[in-house]
Amino acid sequence: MNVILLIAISITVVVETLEQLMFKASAKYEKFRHHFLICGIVLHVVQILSWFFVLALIPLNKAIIALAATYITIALASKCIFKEQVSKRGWVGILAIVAGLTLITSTGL
Amino acid sequence: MNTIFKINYKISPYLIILFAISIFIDVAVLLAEKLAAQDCGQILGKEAGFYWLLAHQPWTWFSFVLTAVQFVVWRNLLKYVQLTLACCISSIAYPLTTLAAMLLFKGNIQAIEWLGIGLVTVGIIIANTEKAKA
Repeated sequence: MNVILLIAISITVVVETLEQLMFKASAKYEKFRHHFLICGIVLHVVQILSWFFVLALIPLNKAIIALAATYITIALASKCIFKEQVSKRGWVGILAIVAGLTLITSTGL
Repeated sequence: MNTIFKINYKISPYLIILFAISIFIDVAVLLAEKLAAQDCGQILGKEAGFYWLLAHQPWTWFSFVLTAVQFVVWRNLLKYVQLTLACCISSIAYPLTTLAAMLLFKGNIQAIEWLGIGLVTVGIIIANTEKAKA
């Protein structure tokens, strides 16, 4: 895996996670809802651009693993920032979703 | 068996409608992007031309409009549900897109994809429920 691909995948995962955190913050903090919403939309645009870049480098069935990984990073970030509780059962569910998404795209969606 | 599964949070008709709209939009956006991309022909070696053609596809703009609606729906939904759980539920859009694509584009779903669809569905149920005494 070359360095540029690794950076592109990392940016995609981090930006997608930040985007979701902004939408949650927009829903949670009424006073700053527009600020967080705009940040979320800007991050969505950045995420789409980085996602297309990743897709230009590797096939979708490999790239989707990076996107599926965001379910884990979002859960971890939500736990740290919004103090959301994720039970062991919740983690099993998330891992099943990640594995399922990987299988769905394994033949090339 | 003395136990049943209980949903982790308070569910209301409004929340169900928000989830239904959100998932419907997710599926519609993925299908619209596919329709836009397939009308643009081969991408290999002509990436710049591909994106230029993509920008002129009605399906591309249709997906942008739906995405804008999705921002509003998703933000409202997150008022009532934890981000982690909401993301888990929205992941059902991928299996649904696979099924919709099979119907629309007359494709086949292979055994391994059916397994993936099953795993995602089970994962969503596990993540959003807890065991409770009957």
